[in-house]
Amino acid sequence: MKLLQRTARYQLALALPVAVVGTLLGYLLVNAIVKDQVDEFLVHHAERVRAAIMNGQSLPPTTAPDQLLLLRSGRSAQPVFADTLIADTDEEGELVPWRIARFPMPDGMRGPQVLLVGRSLVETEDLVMAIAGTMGVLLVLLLVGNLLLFRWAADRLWRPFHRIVDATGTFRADVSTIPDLPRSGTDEFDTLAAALERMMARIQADMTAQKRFTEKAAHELRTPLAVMQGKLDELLQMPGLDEERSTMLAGLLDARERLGRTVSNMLLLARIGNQEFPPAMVDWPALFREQLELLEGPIADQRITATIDATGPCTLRLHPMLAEVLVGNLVRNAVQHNRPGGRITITITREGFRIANSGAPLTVDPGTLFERFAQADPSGRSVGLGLSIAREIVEGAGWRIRYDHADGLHTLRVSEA
Amino acid sequence: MKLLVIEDEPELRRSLHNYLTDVGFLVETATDLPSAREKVAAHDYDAVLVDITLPGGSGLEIVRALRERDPSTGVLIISAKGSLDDKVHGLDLGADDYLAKPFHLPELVARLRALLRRKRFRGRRAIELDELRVLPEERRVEVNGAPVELTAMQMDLLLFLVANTDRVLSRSAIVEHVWGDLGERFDQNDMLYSHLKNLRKKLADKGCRDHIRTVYGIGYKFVSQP
Repeated sequence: MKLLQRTARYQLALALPVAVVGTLLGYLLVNAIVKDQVDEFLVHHAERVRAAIMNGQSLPPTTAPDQLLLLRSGRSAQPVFADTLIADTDEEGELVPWRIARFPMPDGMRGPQVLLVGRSLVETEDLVMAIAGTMGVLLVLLLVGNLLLFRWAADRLWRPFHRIVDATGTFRADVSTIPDLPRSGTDEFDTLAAALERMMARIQADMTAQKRFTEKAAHELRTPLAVMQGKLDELLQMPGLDEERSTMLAGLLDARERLGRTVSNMLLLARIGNQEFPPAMVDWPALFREQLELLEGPIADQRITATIDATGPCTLRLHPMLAEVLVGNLVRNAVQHNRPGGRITITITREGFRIANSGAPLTVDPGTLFERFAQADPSGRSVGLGLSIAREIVEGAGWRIRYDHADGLHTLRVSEA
Repeated sequence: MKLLVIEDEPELRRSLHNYLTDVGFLVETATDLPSAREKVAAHDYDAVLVDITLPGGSGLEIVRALRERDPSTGVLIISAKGSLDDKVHGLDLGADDYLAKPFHLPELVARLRALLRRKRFRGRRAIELDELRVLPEERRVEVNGAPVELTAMQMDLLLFLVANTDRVLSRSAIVEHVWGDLGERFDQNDMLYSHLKNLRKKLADKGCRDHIRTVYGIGYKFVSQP
């Protein structure tokens, strides 16, 4: 959720109860004031009538339809106020709210009597509702306006932040330029920009140093290997190669080979880590077919059935060389750990690809499968870097690789993280 | 065929000199950039092997100079850097091929022969061993004038063997040439064995003598006189 949405949510959580309670309180308050006014009017009116009657005048006639004045026989020690509903005098006879008060009066000719004074509340109630309604609408408008204003302001205030994030997002340590982060004049964002720039410069310096080191190391390791290979190739041509010497030479050749592979794999791992390979589109089905073809010999010898099922163009982008190394490693792994008459199923979809093989159950902990040198095989067939290189390549591209085993199939899945 | 080997590592230089001489090339060597410059300016070579990292500067300078001077000279870069940029850059400057250290010397020989064929003979040169005739650029093989149908891999295999006639070849050199750098070692003995078996059979079916010898524990040898 965006920061803006989060803040708006808190604002709403506060503002909604305020609007509801505020409107309610306003209504009650106005209602009380209006009732008080009506009661005051009734008392005043009753006093005037009472004075007139005491002076011997008769009950004045009521003319206004929203007023009521009656002399009734009865007793009342105190004035009594009450709300009641009275049928309207017009033809519809609707029930209308009234405020009625009973006032004690001096005894008349026919005994004790009270004065009933009333006033219709239709209009005052309309007034109260109008006031409360206006208040409610105003509060809601204020609330909505506030939210909109806040959204607009936040959008403007956070704009430099987004510009900084965008510029940082395109940063690549292997390209020589560091993006110029925009300065907005807002202290917080300028500090952030400066800190990010320093960080990128440091990452780049580290990367350059590391790259230089890898290059040097590669040179220093490869040159003696080349010397060894040259000497071995010379030795191979020497006359008088008996069985004993052949065996010794074979052992040396083998060791040279292993050393060479380990060195080149380790250098490859270092260079993947250095992000030295810019990504590009890859034709995955074609690549899998190519790698299967390279191994058609062993696949045929082992009577392995290999199928490729491509339902969509996989969107994983990789440098062509890395893609080849990845697919090569996966396919070789599937062939090497298969059983005679087994199968290899390759499935390529938009979301990624998976390769399954029907090999014997693992003899190692599946958790260590992707670790460097995890599979180191004492026979020298494998130096145990194949799957760790695969993982390094996949994760370097921001995807992930997983292993699972079900129904006798070992499956390696490459998919978006 | 006259070659110049520019390589600063003395032991490797010696191996290159010996091996290439044995194969039949006329080999001169240079140890650093100034002496390489001198030799390139003074003599004509059919091909030049250049190491990129040299005392006194980059071997790429020699590549550039050679290209300007004589486009028919074959240029092959041998480098221990092995980075992709390096390779692309070298080929852009006009090198004909690039070989990363460490390499098998038979691989170097095969590449040199292919390079010279393209440069000096415009690719039109057949390799003939009595009844066997190989046309590398056209990727065709004939036995007593009759064509032999080979798969791409069998063809690669045969070309590599023929390029290194009468030399002992380790299995790993052959496998790396045909299948490329597999990253991890595969059951190469079996793989190579089955391919060689099929190749031998196809050649024998057409009446070719068996030129391929097994060298105990090490690999194979393609002999010119079976």
